[in-house]
Amino acid sequence: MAGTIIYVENLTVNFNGFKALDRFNFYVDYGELRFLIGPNGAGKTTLLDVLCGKTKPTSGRVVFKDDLDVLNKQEHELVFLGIGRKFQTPSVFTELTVFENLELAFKQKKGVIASLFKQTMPKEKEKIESTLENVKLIEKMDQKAGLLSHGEKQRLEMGMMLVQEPELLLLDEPIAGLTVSERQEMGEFLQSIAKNCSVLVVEHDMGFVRKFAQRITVMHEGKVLSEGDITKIQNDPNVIEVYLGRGGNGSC
Amino acid sequence: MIKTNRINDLLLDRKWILFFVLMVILFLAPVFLSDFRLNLLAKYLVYAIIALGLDLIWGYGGMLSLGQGVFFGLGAYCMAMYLKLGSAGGELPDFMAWSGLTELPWFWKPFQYAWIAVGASVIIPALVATIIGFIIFRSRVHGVYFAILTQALALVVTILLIGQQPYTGGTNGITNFSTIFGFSLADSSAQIILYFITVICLGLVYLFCHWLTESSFGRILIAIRDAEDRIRFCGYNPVTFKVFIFAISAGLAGLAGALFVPQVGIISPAMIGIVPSIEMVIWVAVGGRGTLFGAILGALIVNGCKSYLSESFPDAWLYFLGILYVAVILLVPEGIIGLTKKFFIKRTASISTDSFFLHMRNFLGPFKVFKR
Repeated sequence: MAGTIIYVENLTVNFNGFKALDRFNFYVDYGELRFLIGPNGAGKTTLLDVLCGKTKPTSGRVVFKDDLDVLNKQEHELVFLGIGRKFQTPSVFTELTVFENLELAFKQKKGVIASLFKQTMPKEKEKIESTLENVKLIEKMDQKAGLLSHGEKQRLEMGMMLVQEPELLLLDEPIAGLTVSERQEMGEFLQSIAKNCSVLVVEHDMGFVRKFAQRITVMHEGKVLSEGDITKIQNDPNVIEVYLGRGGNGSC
Repeated sequence: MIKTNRINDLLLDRKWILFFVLMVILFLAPVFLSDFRLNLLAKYLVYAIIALGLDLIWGYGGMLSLGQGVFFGLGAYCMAMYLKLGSAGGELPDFMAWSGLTELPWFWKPFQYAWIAVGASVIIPALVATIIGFIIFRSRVHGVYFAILTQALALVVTILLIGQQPYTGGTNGITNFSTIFGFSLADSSAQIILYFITVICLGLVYLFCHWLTESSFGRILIAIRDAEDRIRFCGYNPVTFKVFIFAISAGLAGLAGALFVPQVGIISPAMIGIVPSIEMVIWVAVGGRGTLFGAILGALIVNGCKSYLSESFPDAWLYFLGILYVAVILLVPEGIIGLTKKFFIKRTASISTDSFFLHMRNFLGPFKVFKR
């Protein structure tokens, strides 16, 4: 698949005088695994918030796929169109079982009436179970999600995103708080899902970025500072000055 | 897998056995109780219907409504208008004549017909809740702000009812009814029939609430309670779900109002304002939020205590009610249902034979509680 899945033009987000994004231009291709890095306050999370409909920008244009205008849609409508969002802290429905969590997220009609008369179809069950295998939670499917460990919650949330069958996944620091081996697994997992959909990841951990990124966008003060593969980024004098240089190369 | 299914079946059976037993007891109650006590019981059952509705939005949906009395009142006034017109026998209701009205106001006219009054007592509260709920939830107001807004609503409605004396009967409310559907209300057989209608309504409302909470809708409601933002990013619009359940709970409160008026014989602003609305919250809190049986038990027990205490200690019962509420919130936040569950789990742990444990779990089936 070629072409851009999301296209951002002259995006400005103004929080009472502070420009979190300043005439920001950016695009992601189909099937890409893109990493977004930059110092605190660079506008990374704000960008994700705009893309998923949570924040409305002051000006600019965001086009999803061919001609879908992201800015006049609400969050749940964008989810339905194929944009999935995962927040920094894992957020699952603690009082529901792991299976029920996925059942809610499953791609289906999501109105009030549909939910009243919904029956779990065998096909749906199959899909959910295969996703549970995928995120390694199949033995815990009848457990309440509140009892899962931090890493398991992260995986459950990834599973919830997958059963929505998104075309663009927005992930905010998916490896925060994970152990070394869990990070490795998450990285491989991200690479595997990027085969079927585009993934945009905000990440601080440079070691992780270096290992798994194909293409990286560096943000600074609401603008794109640099873009390219890891070698290009690491040798860009601008990047070294504002970001990598600050906390010693790669230790941030 | 087969084994867990069997356990689930048993749990299900127990739940229905308990429901069945409760219904049988309620149906046999007229045999044992005096007219006066039966009338009190009917009132409690009406309150249990309100509690079920409140439990849906608060216990399951996480929206604390401190204005549930308003919807109860709307339903009650709809029914009272019908009863008043029936009792006036074609003439102007007494309080209107005293206030100097010479003609029946236009909005009173449809209420001469019983079925309009009965329908309106459910539909009007639901409609009002839909409009208010849509405005509140669309602007993403929740938590304590929602509670404050609903409390303000209770205040506004009471002031309005008191202020519009010629149309609403003012502080005195609407009272002095003589007939319903052509039968005399003073007749004890009419009261018994009304009691049976109340029991049937409570049973049907319970079944309806059970169906709602066990469906996918019920799980979405719990999800909204626990993480509203997350449910948006699962592709659901929480606004429509919240408005829907708010309207349902208002409709149930309205139904309760319609059942209340002919049996108690009066409705006045003092019965639907802020204090009664908070009492309704207490019933659910004491019984146990998020369990349907808890809501019913809470309404029955708190009101039973209230009647007993107000008969024995007329001056002090309000203090007892306050202490009860504080004690429940501090000591057993999961209510009576949570308490029984804890008690039995402790007991079974010390005996520790599997079959007995299973037996107890079966017994506790209906009390499945969501821990928080």
